[in-house]
Amino acid sequence: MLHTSAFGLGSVAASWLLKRDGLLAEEAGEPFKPDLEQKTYDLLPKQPHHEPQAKAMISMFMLGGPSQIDLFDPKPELIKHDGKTFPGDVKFDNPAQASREIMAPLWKFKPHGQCGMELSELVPHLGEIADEITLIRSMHTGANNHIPSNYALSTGRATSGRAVLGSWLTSALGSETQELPAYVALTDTRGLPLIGGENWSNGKLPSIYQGTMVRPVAPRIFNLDPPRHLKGSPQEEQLRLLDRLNREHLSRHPGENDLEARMKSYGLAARMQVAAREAFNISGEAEATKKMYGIDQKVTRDYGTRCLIARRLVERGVRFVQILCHSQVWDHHGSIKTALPDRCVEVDKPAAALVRDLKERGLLNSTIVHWGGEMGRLPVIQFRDGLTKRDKVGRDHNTYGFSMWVAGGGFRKGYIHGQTDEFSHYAVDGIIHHYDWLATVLHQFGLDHKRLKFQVGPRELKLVESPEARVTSELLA
Amino acid sequence: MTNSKIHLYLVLSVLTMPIHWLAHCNAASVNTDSDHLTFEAQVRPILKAACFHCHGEEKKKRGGLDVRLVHLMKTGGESGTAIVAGKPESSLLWKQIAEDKMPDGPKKLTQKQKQTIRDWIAQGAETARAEPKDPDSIRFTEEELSHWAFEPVKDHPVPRPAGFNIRTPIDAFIAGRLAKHGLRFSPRANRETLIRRITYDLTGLPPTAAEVEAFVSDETPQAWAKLVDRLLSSSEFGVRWGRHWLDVAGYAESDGGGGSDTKRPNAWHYRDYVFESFNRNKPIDQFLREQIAGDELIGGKPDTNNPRHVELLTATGFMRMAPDPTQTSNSLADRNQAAADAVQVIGSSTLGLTVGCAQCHDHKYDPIGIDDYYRFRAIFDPVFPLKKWQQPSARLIDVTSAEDRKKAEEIEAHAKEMDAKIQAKKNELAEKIQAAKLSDVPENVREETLQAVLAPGKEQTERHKELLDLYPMVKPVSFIAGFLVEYDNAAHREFEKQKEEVTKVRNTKPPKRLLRVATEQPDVVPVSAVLFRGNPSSPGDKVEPGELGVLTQAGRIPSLPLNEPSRATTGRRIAYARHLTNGQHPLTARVFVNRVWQHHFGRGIVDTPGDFGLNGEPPSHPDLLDWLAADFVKHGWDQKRLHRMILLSTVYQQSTKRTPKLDTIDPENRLLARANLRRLEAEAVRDFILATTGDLNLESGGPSIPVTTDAEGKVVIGVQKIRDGLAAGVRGKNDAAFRRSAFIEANRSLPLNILATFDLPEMKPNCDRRRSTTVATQSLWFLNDDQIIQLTGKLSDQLFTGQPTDATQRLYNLHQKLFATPPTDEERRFLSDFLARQEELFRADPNAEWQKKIKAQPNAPGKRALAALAQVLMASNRFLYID
Repeated sequence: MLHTSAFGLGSVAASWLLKRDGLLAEEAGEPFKPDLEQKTYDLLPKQPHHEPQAKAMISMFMLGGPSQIDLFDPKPELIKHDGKTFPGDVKFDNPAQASREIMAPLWKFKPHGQCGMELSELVPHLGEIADEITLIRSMHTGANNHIPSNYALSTGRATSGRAVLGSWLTSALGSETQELPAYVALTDTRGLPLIGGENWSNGKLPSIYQGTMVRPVAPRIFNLDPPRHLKGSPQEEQLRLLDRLNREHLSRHPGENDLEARMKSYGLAARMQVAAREAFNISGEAEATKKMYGIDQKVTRDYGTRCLIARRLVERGVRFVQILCHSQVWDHHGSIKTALPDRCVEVDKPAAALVRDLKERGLLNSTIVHWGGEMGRLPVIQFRDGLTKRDKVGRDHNTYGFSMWVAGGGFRKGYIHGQTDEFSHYAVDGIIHHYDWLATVLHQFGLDHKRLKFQVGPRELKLVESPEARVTSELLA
Repeated sequence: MTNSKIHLYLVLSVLTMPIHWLAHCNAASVNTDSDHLTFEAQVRPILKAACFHCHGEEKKKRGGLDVRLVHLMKTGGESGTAIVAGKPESSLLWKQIAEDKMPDGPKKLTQKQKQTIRDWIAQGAETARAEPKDPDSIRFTEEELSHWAFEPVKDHPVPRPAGFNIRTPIDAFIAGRLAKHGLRFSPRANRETLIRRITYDLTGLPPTAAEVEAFVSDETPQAWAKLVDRLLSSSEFGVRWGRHWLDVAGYAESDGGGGSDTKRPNAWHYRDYVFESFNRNKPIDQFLREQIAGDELIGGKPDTNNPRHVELLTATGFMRMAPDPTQTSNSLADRNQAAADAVQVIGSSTLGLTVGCAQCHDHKYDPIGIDDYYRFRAIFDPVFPLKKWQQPSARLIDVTSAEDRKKAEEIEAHAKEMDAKIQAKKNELAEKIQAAKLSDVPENVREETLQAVLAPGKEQTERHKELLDLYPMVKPVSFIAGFLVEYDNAAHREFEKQKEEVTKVRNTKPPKRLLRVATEQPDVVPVSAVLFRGNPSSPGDKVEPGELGVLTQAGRIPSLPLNEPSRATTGRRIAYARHLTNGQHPLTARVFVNRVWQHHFGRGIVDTPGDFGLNGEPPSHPDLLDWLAADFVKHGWDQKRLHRMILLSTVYQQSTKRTPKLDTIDPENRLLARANLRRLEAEAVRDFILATTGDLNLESGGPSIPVTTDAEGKVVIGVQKIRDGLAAGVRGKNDAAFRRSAFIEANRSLPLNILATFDLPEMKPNCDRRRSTTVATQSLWFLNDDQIIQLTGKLSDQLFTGQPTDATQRLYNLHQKLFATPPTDEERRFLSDFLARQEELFRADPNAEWQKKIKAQPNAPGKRALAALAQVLMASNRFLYID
């Protein structure tokens, strides 16, 4: 940014054009054009294809696969057939522990809000914002394990090495802030999610579009915070000495722009330390706000803090924020009866608070808030080591019909979309494939999934490749 | 006057123009004479780049308009005449470009280009000479064909400017230009500066304190020359200068392209070949021939026991450096792009031309037709046969010694035995598990269920399927054995442990020596053709191998065989390599000496080292460039001799200091009245720090030190530990982690974090000129990165061990290590003040553990203070820039 180019503005403008070409231009007729020109990339704000509804997105990704049967998708038939043999074809992932015995939802459902959205007693806070959200009950990826399904939902295909949604958004739209990373991944105190950095990978897009992983504890950004013993006065002294040395050096090299730029870059680094530290520091937030996010309670402190930070980042112009859980904590093959409530209580209150807080601040209209995992679960029991008691058993993977919810950014309010079959195994009505979901999100950002491309060698990269992908307008307000 | 004479005249007349004007102009505008514009000289180059494609070169002209000749524009297309001489406002051409309606792509003409066209129309839209009727009859103009770089190298006499300190002919050429602008050489830099500059230049490392001391105190007149010779004969010379060539060759240890970026674990043989060639001062003509045609230099069948044969085969790895995803993504388009990238690398590294730009249509700037491109590419087509393509793994040549091979076979046999034993135990367990699962099945259908499980997929009956669906946990033994992690985790872990033992045994195998070579398959002689729009599925006219037409002017046409019957290969490449290096070629030597110049002075005589064409920068000192090229050839392409001549010059030894006068006359320092300040390149940032802290491991050659990502996605040195197919932390590499950066795996998608932070280039497909950025992440690295904290901590410990009592001496030693000079009194004073204040702050740090440490080691705060100082000094511009 501070580098003063010998070529002046011309080359900046040219590189911007080139970059825009690489991303957006549809040049027919010359498919094998060699890639010769050196391209440069930046994070300055860019124009989308059409008028956008959303400017930012916060994705609360629930890796492991929360049970739609026990949270979002009530099925009376399951209660009726509890304990009986499942009558149709079951898509097991783990036949070693498979069974065909139907297990009814372990929790009760009741309607919420004016829209009357039926939700489980495990997510009472979500119930309070039911009139703000779109609940999708017909998600489908068909890639029946965590890693492939995770890839499908975040990169458009169930294979590795591709760029995730956040990278595509920042490459196409840049960032509204230059003092904070454009794309932030907020990770859990207990560890990284399954596939770690691949959750925020730029794939084959230029590396500046990679998400910046923010550590769950200070220092939240790598190299952003000094080591403990240098914090405060020692580093201030260091910066003062550095400035003095650099000034003297510059006085011996008058007129060297590069030296001056580097001196300034320490200033920018110091500002970034401040800007980022400020963004991550929630101590100035009102007590009521912190309480709303559950930061005052141990069980919700970590997740609530990260939700609040996500709001602060979006407020400051960050384009995409992911709030990730560790490993695959929603993967309830066993002991679902005790494990699922534990998970829900950690996130339910903070997630609902985030939607509310954004709304109060007038940010919800321009921010997509997403809550969901890469899969749901099966209506039948999964045995764990031959156990038959209901308090130790769980449910196996289900990517053929599962639920997630979304709020803000122009999505409909108080709306339920799609249906699964009577046992909540297969999505049957209003099916949303991973590519439909991605195309719809892009659309809300003002991007046409068919035009969003990136050229690497002879290959044209796209987030959404399926010709069947459809912007699902039913989801939109 | 002939055209080339006019050109030379213009070049010379430019010498009298203000220098900052020269620095900015490009080849096309050298000829600018605003009083008289002609189509050929000023307007055609603009239209050629922006308009010819749709309005000329394509069979069907857009709007029926052809703009390749003025009379065709006057005739016009469907919308009528395009230009009215003398009347820009009535000219359709002007109206279209003025409002950016044309060109209709995203790239518009610049204001300056528009103005040129407008002025030309206003002046009467003149041509330099009568135009032919047929636009196809003059594909390239005389102006294009007589571009300086396509003319033979001229042997200019060395000028004799008076009153300058002339040490080498280089000084004479540079001084000659300086004198014309009333400039003098800058004073010589001081000795500390000089030894740091030249040690960086020749080895990529800082000088040691002892080396500085020896040089500074050497009062003999030969001191500098001795230093030059010592460094030129250092084995680190090859690492530094070889690395420069690796940029040009596009060296990478992963496949790149659109595939999965597969690693290239055998690429390092080529890296070592380059480093050794530079260290042995292999004549550059030979070096180029070996890389282009090493295999063809071997008479008969290569003998893998003959070290010379191995060297020659290794050299051809040069042609295999470009991105090539065909191991994992092997479509015709992928192959074609891999071949095109390789040809692009060959063209830019040896010819300094963007030959690849003529892959889809005629070159937009240079007189290189699409047919030229395919003739040039045909020289290499037998190595890159699109129809008989070999995937990278199929091209490896095994040069492992017979002894190593035998040893490896024995170890593998033993490992296989161990594997078999483990598998047998696994199957045994799986059988037990299967029996247990089967016992859950009601007795009456148990046998039937087992039959269902055992039945092969095709033979399964409806009843079988029903049972399998009903009792999904009953599975074949092989399935259970493979999925043991789910059935019996404890046993699975135990087997994993046993497998690690097998891996340990396998790791004792002597490594195979596999070379990534470029050679031809017997009897594969592809038919070369012009590919329509670069599309490999649309071959058009057939072509035979040939040099670019523009380089064959004045009868310099090489004779290239189609297929030499006496050889196992076609003989095309060796014939071309000999032509390239015969000393008569207009580009080979110019391009190489320019690269050497570039790395000594921060920029080349031609500032676009990969583009000597019309769109490149013109040379700042054309006579010097030619003289250097001619001298280089005359003296056997002796690289070290060229270095010596440059390094012994007055020009090289000048101070970097700017003055108001210099900045007014020559702000970009194109005339070289001073030296250029340069930032350390990525590898040097890391190597300098490691050298300063004493950690640097100078072991040379061999397989690269692997990189991987840690849990946060940061690229670090080490190997990924895998558990159940998932990443499980990084295993470090101890001493190997402190090898020079040139020996760290050069993975395209995984550049080592510190190197990427400091602008390591991406090889797409190669890099002619590195860029250096100044961004906050670099500053944050120096302020806060773990690595810098650890290394400076260690350095401080060492300084304390060396000088336990004398703080002043410690400061001296630190300063000396970093800057090759002790601090001045003034510096000593404020650096000591800093140390004292830091020490006080650290002493007051209330952290309990730290306070315990101070009790045990009272000098701990002092050590920390010295480390904090070392960190600041390394972050400072004085460390990061070469004076």
